[in-house]
Amino acid sequence: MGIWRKQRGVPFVCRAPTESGEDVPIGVAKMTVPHVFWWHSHVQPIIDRDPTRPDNGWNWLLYVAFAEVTGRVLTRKPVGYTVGLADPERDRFVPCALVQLLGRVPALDDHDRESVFVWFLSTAPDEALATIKDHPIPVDRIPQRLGTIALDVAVTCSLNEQRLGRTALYADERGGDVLLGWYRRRGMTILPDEAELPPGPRRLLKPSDGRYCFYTVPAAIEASKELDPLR
Amino acid sequence: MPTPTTAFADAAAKYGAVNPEDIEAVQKWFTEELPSCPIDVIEQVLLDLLAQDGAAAEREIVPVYPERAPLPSLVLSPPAALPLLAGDWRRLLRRLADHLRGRGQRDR
Repeated sequence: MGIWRKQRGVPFVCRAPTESGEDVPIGVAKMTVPHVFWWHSHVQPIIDRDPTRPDNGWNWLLYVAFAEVTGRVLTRKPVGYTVGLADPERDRFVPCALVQLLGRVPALDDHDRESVFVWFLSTAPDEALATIKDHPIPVDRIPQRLGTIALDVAVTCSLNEQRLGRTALYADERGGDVLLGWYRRRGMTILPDEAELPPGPRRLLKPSDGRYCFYTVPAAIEASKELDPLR
Repeated sequence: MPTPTTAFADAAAKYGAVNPEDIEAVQKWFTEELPSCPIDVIEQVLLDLLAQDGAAAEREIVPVYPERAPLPSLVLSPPAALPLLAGDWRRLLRRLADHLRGRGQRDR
């Protein structure tokens, strides 16, 4: 099954569980300016009220330029995705999580291999989804597991781009041990703090300090399989 | 920290002659002007930003939030493309079979 997953690729998640016990339909779309414009208008102000959040102070209007560089390929292959709640009846797509990836960077555990790196990842707080003007989402219908689903977008992208699931990220200090533990529970390995990073600016600016996390190929496949019921 | 907002503002100043203290002008440059720049400029901006990836912000930029942005349209947010075989190929084959059956009936 793992071989199939690596060779054939994987679809994105299309449902999310809710407190009500029923799944809700979600979609994964390429990130666009209207997505981030709405996010910066409605979601980011709520995030910015919480100084403990790693995404406090972020500005997705600045990152979206690298979501899709149409018909052209940049060295690091940046790509951005929006996970959104789909409402076909009212033609609404409610962004619930945003992910900006670098599709081609050296892997943390094997510098000769290529990996996906999560540059920015953000999920909407429940409050933001429950207070949308003219379109509030009932609390028991708010998509759950958004962090896991957003991380799965990165793993899926890695599998589909022949990176075999290799995915890495830096767990922001503001998230503390809680965030690090969360990534560990998702199956990621913590890069030891004495390990050397692949060549690049981060080796100097942000050397390994025990907060870089990565998926090995088998761990990525396990994590991907775990979400199969939602695909 | 990933790349700090100040690095984006500095890149807009360097490549777009935008006032880096004017966050709305910086946002406008990144959303409207940078995407239509030559590919080598976009590449260089990205490399500059990644050179600051992991750096601490040197100064504070007060955020400005747009007011009353509309919810995005589902029609204008199509599902991201997948490798051909990664999609639901069983459903695809069923649809293809249905289509061919329908055409066969019309031909008769």
